[in-house]
Amino acid sequence: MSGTALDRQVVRDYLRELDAAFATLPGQQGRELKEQIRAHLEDTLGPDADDQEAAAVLARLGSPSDLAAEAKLGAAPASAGTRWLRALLARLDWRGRALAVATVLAIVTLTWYFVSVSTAEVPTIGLSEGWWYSHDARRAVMTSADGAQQYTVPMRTGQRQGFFVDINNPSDWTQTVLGFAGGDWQAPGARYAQLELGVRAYAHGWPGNPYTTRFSLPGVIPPHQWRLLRVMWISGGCLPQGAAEGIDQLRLQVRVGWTSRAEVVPLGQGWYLSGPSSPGSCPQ
Amino acid sequence: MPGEGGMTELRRGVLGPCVLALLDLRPRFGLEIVRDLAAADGLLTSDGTVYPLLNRLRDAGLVTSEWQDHKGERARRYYSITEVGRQSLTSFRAEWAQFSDTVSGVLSHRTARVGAVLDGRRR
Repeated sequence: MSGTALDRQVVRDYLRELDAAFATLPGQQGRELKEQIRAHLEDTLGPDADDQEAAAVLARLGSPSDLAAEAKLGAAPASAGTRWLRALLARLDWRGRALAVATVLAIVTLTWYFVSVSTAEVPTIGLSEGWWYSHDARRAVMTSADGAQQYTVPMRTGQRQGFFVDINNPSDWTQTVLGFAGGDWQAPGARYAQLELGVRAYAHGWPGNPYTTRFSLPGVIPPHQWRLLRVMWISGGCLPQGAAEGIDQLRLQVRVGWTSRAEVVPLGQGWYLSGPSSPGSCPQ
Repeated sequence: MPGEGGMTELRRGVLGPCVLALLDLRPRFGLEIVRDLAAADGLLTSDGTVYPLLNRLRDAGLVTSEWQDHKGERARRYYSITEVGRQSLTSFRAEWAQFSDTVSGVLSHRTARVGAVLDGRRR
């Protein structure tokens, strides 16, 4: 005979019954008891034991259900939920168990996915930036107050104005910029603005010539990569002499994985327009 | 009458102290304990019941177990009695002596009375 006495069909059948009977025991208790019974069988049955000897040893050992009942004496009672689960697992065949395992794996994976997506870091703004049009850039004034910087240009009523910044996706997930969150664009100087993302990748700190970059939306930022973000609008509204309005953060609608969410991205400085707006744009 | 069910309960009750008494002599592995108990006629109804019992004794802190690897043999889990187990065994021995005397006395008395009643009827 090859192998051990545990390989005999009558012993294997017994151990299988033992598995089913011990399924209602707490995991560690069931495993330990099965290990003890196996050791007992290995000690008792020599490699040449025949079926009759094996059957006699198994009969002296007691039925699996009796052993399980004996083990339950004085054992901590399992919770109702655990008992229900163990009873269910004991009734399942291998297909049912495989399905149960697959279901648990799916739940764990989905939970991991949602936790991972919801905790993905928000994009950050880098140091490469500027007003998009050269005649704005030439007239831009940088001011600082209380540690905050402000980049201000005169408003050009009825004309396109805008700026670009580089934006980084620090997370392990691809993030896709869909637009402003909830159409949330209030300033500067226009009710609506156009938001676009440069599709050209570059190393942080050297975006190259932004004017050769193609901008579009939605804009995909792969994990740990940089892109150029361009915000354009047609300036309008009333801005009196000496007044200024602008923004220091963007509220972006971003898709992470299968989930879309609003993200507040600080710009690091304020982008402002100063008055006066053109004559006739303010009510008399 | 308690019958076989009652005897099973009685055996279960005394099996723990019997295991402790065996381990009080020296550490043993599972099959050794089973064989020693089986040698005492009528004490063990099935070999397998010893293992849950050993686990209960260990959980109660009365015995400990450790794997030992003797030369030429496969590794086995050896059980030893603890100090708490020894105290428990000493206490049980004292109580058992008194208990068994009491039970024996009561059983003998009942037997004598039943015998007297039967004797009276015969007359």
